[in-house]
Amino acid sequence: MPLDTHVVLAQGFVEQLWLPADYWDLSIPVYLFLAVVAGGGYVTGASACLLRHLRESGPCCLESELARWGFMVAVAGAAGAGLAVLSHLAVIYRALLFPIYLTNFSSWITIGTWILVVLSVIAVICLVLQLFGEGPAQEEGTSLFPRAIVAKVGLLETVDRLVDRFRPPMVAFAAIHVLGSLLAVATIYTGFELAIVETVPLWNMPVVVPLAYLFSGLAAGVGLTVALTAFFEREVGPVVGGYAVATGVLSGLGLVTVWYGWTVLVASDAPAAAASQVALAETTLAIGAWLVVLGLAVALVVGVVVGGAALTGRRPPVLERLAVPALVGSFGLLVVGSLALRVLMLLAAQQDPVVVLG
Amino acid sequence: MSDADGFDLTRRTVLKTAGAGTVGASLGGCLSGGDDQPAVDPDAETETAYGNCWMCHHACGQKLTVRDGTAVDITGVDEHPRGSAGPGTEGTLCPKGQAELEKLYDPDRITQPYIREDGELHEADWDEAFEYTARRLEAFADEHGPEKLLDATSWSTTNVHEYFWGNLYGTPERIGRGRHVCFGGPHLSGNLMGLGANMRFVDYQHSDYIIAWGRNIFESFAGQWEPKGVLEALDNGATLVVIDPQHTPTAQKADHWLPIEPRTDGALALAMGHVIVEEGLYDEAFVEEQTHGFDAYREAVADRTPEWAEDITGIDTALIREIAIGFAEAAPAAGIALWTGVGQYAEAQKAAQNVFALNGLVGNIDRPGGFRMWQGPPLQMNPFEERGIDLPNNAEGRQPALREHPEYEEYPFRHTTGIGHTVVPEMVENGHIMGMVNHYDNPLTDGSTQAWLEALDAMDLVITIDAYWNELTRNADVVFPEAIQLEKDTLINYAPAWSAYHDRRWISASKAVHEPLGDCKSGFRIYKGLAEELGWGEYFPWESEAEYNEDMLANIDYTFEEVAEQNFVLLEEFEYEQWEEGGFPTATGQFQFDLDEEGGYAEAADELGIDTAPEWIPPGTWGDEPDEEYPLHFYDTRSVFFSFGADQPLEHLHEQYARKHGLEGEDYRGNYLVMNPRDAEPRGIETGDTVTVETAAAEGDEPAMAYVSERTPPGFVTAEFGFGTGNSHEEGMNTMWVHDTQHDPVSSQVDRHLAAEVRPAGGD
Amino acid sequence: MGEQWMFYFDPNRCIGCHACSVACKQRHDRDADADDWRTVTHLSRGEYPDFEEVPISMSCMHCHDAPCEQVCPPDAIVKRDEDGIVTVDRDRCIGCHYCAWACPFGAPTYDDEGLMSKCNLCLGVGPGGGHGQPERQTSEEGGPAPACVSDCVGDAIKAGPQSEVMAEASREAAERFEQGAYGKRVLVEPLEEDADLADSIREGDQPAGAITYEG
Ligand code: SF4
Ligand code: SF4
Ligand code: SF4
Ligand code: SF4
Repeated sequence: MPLDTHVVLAQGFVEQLWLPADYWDLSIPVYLFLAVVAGGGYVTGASACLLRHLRESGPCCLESELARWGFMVAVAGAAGAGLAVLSHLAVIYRALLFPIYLTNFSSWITIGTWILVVLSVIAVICLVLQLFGEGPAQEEGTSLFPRAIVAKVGLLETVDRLVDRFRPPMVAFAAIHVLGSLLAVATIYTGFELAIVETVPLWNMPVVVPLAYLFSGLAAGVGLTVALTAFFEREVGPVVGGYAVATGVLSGLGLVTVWYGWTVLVASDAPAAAASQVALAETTLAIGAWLVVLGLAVALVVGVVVGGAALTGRRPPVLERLAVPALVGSFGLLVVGSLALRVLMLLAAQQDPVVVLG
Repeated sequence: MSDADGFDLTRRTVLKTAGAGTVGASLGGCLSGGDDQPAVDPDAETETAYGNCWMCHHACGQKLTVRDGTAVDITGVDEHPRGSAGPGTEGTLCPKGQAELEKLYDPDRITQPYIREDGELHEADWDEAFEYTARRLEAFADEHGPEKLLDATSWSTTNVHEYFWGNLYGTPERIGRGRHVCFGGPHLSGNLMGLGANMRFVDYQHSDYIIAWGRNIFESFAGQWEPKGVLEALDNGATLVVIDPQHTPTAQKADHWLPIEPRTDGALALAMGHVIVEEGLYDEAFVEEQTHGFDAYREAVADRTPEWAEDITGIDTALIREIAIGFAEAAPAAGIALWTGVGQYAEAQKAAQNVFALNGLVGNIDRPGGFRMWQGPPLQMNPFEERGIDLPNNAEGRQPALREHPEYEEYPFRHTTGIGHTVVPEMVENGHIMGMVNHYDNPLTDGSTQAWLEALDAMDLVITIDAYWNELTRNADVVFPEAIQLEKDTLINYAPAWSAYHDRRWISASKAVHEPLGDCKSGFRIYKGLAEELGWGEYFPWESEAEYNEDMLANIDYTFEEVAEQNFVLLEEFEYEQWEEGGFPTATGQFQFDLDEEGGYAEAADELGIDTAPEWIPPGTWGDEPDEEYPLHFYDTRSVFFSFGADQPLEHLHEQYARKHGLEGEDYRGNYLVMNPRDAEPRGIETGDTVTVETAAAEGDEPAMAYVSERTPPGFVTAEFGFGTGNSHEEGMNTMWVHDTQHDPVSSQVDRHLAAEVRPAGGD
Repeated sequence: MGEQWMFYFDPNRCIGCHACSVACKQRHDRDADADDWRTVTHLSRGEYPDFEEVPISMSCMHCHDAPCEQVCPPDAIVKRDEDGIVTVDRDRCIGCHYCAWACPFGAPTYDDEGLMSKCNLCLGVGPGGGHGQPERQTSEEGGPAPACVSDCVGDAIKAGPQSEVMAEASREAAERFEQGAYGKRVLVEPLEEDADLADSIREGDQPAGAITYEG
């Protein structure tokens, strides 16, 4: 996908094309997106586990569903992010040998690689622990479908046994969750990967961009988990409602951050900032920009209203009927909007004057 | 670059490592590897070799790094007269000059002789080719007479071809490129007025006021000393005025850019003259003592006020006044550089005369910073004489057809020149020219292309000496592959005059970097081989071009070896104001405003009903004027990447040309049709679209890619010449495909300025 | 630690001829259609006849702070102590393109293998040719002049140890450099003063067709 949208600017002189198009492709925004989605899935899973523990809910509760879907989102997100970034590299084996090759720890890619790899390992462990063993064996729910697959292969019992054998003690489990949650938040690094680029004003907002990426990405991760749970369980209880509210709040924070970033861009003296602004407001990219706003705003409203209602148990019949489709629809839109944000950040990037004449 | 690595070139060492076998072998590898350059041992020691760039034939010094018998790098020669800004400055190479390295190993070059048998071109060895050609030439002379063979040889690195075709074969029919297709009008005016043929250059470094009149010195130059000299002048505070309808890199750096209406230079010049006379700013002493025809001139400019000229040229009255006064006040350290811009339209001779008159008026001629009368080295241009060879002149008594036959009486230029490019196809049709020999010169790039193609077909014998395949070589009966300059022992004898050394004569030479590619031979050896086959061996005692060159240096204190070893040497000084001693080389011995004393010119003028003195001849008098059907001016141009048609095939050049236009992402590597958005929009054309040019005569051969830009005025479209059908790089359009005999009737110069329409090519 | 080398560019002397690009390609034996290590960009504005076009010749500037080196995950980019030249170890490069993002000058290029190559100040020859080479020598010391410098027709590019290059710059250019122009990464002669470009872009005030967006 050629992204011919960059300009070389010199004071008073404007021309197109800064970077050759093949420096970037769609795999980059996908990577930057899925890494945070994985984080969002993970925090959902981990917190659901915690909730279940605190509330001592029995089996088959929605917390378990949320936990499993959450870890699944985390694993899938991390895997997708990994594949996306690998597909973009020239020498894959050197990247696979990252402990040997990636030695520059001031590079966000090196840091990010470790974050993503460790997060995905933890997410896999958590997911396995939620899927197999005696406990899960007694549960029911769509999220347990991997069990059916393992059963087909005829290994279910063995796996259940093994998992229980190695099931860590509660303390270790908690420690893993704490670490995993920290790493989930650390997926904010995806924002830093862009924010350090000094010559692109659209990116070079070291607070705004990482926070925008974190909030919108976590919102998408949490929202996706909620949507999956609601969709398969056809039920929106207070717990799911709580997560829906969280999604709404994260979306809202994302929206506020993005909006703030926009005002910074609009106020900037940098020609490239102006060019990015024009690109986002007055070209076809504007459609994408509105998609971002729409995704975040709808998620905010629906999450808070529908989720709030479910959480507090005040559910008028209309909401009862519409809760699932509303959450699934709006959070689906949120996912699209949040990805669109990343795509736009690349498409609308303009480099500040390579050489300023004057 | 420093010489610190201290490798001295000796011909022996280069040859030792670069024997034909080595080159052949490494090239074999190169071709199979699909790489442009032979594999080179990176650890081998390097040597230095020299060249004199022959890409635009202006001979900038080239310094090559040779490793393992292969040239691996190329750069300029410091202080070179053509390739530097003079003493103490570094020599460089423009993109063309650098790309000669690519040409040295270009797998697309013709490297074998070819002869036509049974209607097909076949590879031949040299003996076969010489023998075949000799028999064909003899048969041609028997059947038609040698005078029907057109000598269209141009850019040979020796002058031996002139003696071969003129003295020995005996044809009087000769056409040269520069003279007839490039700047014929100014060439004629300059010569007749007394400025000589080198009327293009200013003594830049000393100048306070430079007018680049229809010249884009920063992109199209006769050696890099020109742009370098102008940059130095600008550094020294000189004023640069650029007169050009198009915005160019030269216009960008100018103090005043006069975006003049196309082809109205003559009016502007007369108005400037008017102001200068009116203000009494002319050089009375010079005019009085050194010129002829001032009264006629004064009369000619009497009513040519700036107000009058503003309407015609589109240049503000006040600005015309300012430039005229600025120029006159800065004189004699003020000069006009004029070349193709006022050289390639039908009214060019008179326009150039009007402009050149300004030189006589302000008395800047051969004075520091003004118009310089350059002096070349005292070469012995006739090495035959030097050897005491009794060379016959078999062309004696034969007249060019133009002068001989009544069919051409309608062409007034028969009084001023022996031939015209656009009249050749007619001569072929009339049976007055039946064959042609061609040497690095392709008439298909230069006007009436379609008629020329038919003429080629009709000719009995076509001999070409060339490096690339094109419609000319493919249609020839004999194709001789010539070694390129870097593969030859070259002495620059083509006008080694103008240079960064304003008061020194100089000479430049170089030895072959290594053996020629494939079976190529130097032009000298081709003529020698052919001469031997024709029984003229006795006239060619020289073994090699180096020996021939040695005789050309008879009057100079250096041997060929000595010059070649240093690449160039500076010779004696020459003075300013040379006219003090010798006057001007004209009929009156003076600078001539009025050409009434030049018999041939006067006759031509009489036939045309024009004045012999400067005069305003509006565009359209002879040339095309845009009309409703063909509303656009169409003009061909030159960029820094190409000259003539022989550089275009080189990849580095057409690639950078594409990058300069930001169109490297397209597959297309032809020329661009430059047009203003105001013309493009209504026609639905955008940059990157393919478009077709059409004139009353024809529709373009192939589409070109549009480049829509504000650099060109509305109503004025241009394209780089030397592309498309007929050229060695066949992508893009041949700008002269849509040309049909338009020319300047005074000088015969091809009129490259046509009325055209441009349309989207559709499809694609 | 030796003195940092740097580039100097004078747009007033650049005639836009691309000789520098070709010289670089030929010195480093790079294919004609490969990305240029030294590019010439032509920036234009205005409507005929109020039209201007300025050529800008650029390559890697061997930045004192080398943003590319800072972000290169496998440490394939090296900012050399001895002469400040920024080289690439193509045996470590993973082809992530991150250096191109970080580079203020768009200098890194990627070949068919996807590996990064860029100007090495003619320290060596060919992609990656500069890596691990001994300290850069000036022409006076017997080192090769950079190809782009030695063939710059307009004498618009200079390169060398910072103090030497600074000595050749105009006072104005040197002052602007000291004040931090271009991040003190390259010395550029001033061309002209100009108004606030950001405003004019917002007002849609650019020359027709100059900015194109394909969203
Ligand atoms: S100007 Fe360029 S092409 Fe012409 S001789 Fe000089 S280097 Fe060669
Ligand atoms: S110009 Fe770019 S590639 Fe060169 S050192 Fe600076 S950041 Fe690195
Ligand atoms: S210094 Fe050498 S490598 Fe760098 S741009 Fe110039 S020619 Fe190319
Ligand atoms: S060689 Fe020099 S003058 Fe020519 S484009 Fe490059 S920097 Fe400009």
